Amino acid sequence: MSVPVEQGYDVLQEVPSMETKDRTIGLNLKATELRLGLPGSESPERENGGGLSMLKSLVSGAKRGFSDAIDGGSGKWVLSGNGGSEMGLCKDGNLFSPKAKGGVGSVPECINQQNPLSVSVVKETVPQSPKPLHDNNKPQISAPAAKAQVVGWPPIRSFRKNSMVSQPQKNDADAEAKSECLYVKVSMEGAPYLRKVDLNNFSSYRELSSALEKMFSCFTISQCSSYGISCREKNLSESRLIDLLHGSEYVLTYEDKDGDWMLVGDVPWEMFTESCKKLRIMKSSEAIGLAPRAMEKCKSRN
Amino acid sequence: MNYFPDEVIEHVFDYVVSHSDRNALSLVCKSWCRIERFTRQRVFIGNCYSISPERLVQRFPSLKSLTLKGKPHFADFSLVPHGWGGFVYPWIEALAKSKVGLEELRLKRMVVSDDSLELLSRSFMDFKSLVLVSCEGFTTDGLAAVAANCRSLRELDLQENEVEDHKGQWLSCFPESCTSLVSLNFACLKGEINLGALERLVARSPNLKSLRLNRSVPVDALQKILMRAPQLVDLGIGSFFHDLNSDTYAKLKATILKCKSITSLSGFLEVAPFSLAAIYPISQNLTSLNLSYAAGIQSSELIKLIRHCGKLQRLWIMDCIGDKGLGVVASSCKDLEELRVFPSAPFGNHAAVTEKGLVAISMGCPKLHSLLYFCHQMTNAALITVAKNCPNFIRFRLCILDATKPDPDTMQPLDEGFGAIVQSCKRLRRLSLSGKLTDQVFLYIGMYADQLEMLSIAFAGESDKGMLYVLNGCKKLRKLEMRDCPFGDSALLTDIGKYETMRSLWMSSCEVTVGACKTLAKKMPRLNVEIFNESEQEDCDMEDEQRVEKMYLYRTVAGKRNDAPEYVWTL
Repeated sequence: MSVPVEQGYDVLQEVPSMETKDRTIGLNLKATELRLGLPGSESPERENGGGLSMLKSLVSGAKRGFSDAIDGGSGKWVLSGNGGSEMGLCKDGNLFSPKAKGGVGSVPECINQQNPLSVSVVKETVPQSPKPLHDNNKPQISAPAAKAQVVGWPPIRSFRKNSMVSQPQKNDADAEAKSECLYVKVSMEGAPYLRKVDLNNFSSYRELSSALEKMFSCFTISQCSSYGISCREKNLSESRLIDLLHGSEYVLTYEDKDGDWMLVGDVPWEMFTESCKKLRIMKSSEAIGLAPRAMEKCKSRN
Repeated sequence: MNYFPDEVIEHVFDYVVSHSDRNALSLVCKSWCRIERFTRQRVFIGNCYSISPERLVQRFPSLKSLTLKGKPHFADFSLVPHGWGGFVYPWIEALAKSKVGLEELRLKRMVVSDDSLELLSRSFMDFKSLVLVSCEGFTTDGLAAVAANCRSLRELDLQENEVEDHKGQWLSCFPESCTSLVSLNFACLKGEINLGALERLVARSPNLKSLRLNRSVPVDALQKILMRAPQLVDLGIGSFFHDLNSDTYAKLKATILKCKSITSLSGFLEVAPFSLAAIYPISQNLTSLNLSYAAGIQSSELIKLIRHCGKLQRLWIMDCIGDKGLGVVASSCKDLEELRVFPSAPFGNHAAVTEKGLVAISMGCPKLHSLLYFCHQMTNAALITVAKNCPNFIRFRLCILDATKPDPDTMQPLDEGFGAIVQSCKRLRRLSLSGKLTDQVFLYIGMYADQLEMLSIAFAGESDKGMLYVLNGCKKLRKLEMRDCPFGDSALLTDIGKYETMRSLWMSSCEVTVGACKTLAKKMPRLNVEIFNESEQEDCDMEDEQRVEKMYLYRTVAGKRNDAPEYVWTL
């Protein structure tokens, strides 16, 4: 039986079948069905998408596997998430995770998240039942009943585990803080007030400049009208704005860590976000010493 | 056989270095055995209870270097209760009494008391090297004794030990006359140290090649130390926390530029964001990089750093590097031989690794031979690809965090994937499995894994057949450990002779019963079969039908041990 070629792994054509005669050959659809119960356990009626029914079966205490080892989310090493058969998996690997918001009746959403810990929200709806670690029709292993975590899993040396848990969360928090907001002031020639943008909201110069355009459009539109340009149509004004910004009128500059004023766009984006302290939209007439390229640009446009 | 005088044979034996070769030599004939034992300087004992200290000393009077391992491997994961054993004191005592000229002691997963360290430090005049890995039971007072008394100490290497830190002045206990240090690693200590003493110690140790600091050593001290020791080859940075605009940072950058010999870097136990640029200048020389404790480094910085590390052979990192980051590793580190990807903290883990990262690595790094990979999921297709790209695996340890997760694409068990690995990697010596697995994978392992020496199994298998496939097929198996597998008495008792060819077997939360263990113990007197009875009931009868929660058996010539705690019943 050949395994379908998937995801660009170049080796897959006919995978040499290593099956012995004993293996069930042929498509066993039931076995590959996405379902919450373990193979062999009673399965709820399947609906397309299976969302609500999944939740129902959870509540009804369908036997679960290894996943019962779920802690109260205190950050101890726990195994959450189910054997994949128990959560609906979209083809592209997203996880259906019934969010137990406000109890049983909530409709599960498809969460685009690789983190299996997100799956742990189901713990609130799962009744504490003694968990068999294997399929129902196989010899049962009685696991410590209702214990909140699986001892010794994942297999990480206690020293390493302890150093992670006691890792001053400030590292995470700091890193998060740094990565969550990198607000810098943005000033513009002639604007009565400044704005602030969070550089972490963007991943490229393009995004930054379109955001700035939107932010400062009110100022430039007034500039437009002072130059007698019709700004009635939004589209027109936006494209006019882009021309204004990218063309001869304005140049985007920034102050870096050393206090120098630099032209935006020379360095890779990440380096830029690290060193940028302030942004300034300058008139190109002011930027002569700073941006010879801009001058060339405007020459070539006109 | 013996046409040459003993001295000639001794001389030849000097060239035979590896433990297994020396062991083989001693089996050839009586005179070789005799010659070999008097010339043997290095002994490795994988299970400290397999032989008594007295017998060791009696057989190898010229012993200079001893390596001992104590607790079973699963003790690392809290599966062995406290007090099980592995005490080093009797060994040091026996060695001290016998006047063996011990120079080197390497211990793993043993209980080391301050008294043992004290005795060690006073008993061996030429003692040079102490390496403790995953040990416990000692405090900084014991270290102080070693520092003070071992006049020719060259190496003090503490890796991931649980040390009670009395915040004493143990570093200051190195006398002024101690100038012989080559390697000092105290990264696992939690407490403050005397920075001045450290600096002076480094200053008077011209041969210092390896230095790994703990978290309490700040950046300005690091800078001063590096100034004194530009010859360092292996550096473990404690704290790398500083203001990027400060003078200290500028000085540090300048100093690092001078450390052209550094090829191994680790630590970064505390890190300031965006500060790694300081080490770019030496990154291209690095062959070993361990950032697995550097929780403060964000993945983007990590990736940028790795782009500079073209010569990297060993890389230990956390999974926040993500699949994309592993792609960068694959394209930058063509000489990579060993990779370990550890899971980061359980919360806030948005970028983890999956099978994609591993496949990328396999495509870019064909020299890879050692892998430890914690991931969220794995597919058969990926494992098959990896097996094809990297046939040189010696160690392959895969840990899918959800232990019974099948292939998410096909919902199949991972039997085929691991089967491909064992079939392709003919030199595989160590294998750890995870994910949903049936008996089939064990059939493959028994069939193909001829060189396999150590196998770790968890939540896998369907019937006794699985375990039997392995016991029958893997001729070189030395260590087998499993937890939460449905293997029972029939599997345990079918081939009991096998266990004398192995170092040890661990079975926890499986299906073996007390009766079977008793039978086994009775039939095999040269095995110690230990059952851990952790229930609190005092009058708990060990009835034969009762399931055993934890069993550990090992071959031994030392008989039943006399230091076992109450909960350990040796049958």
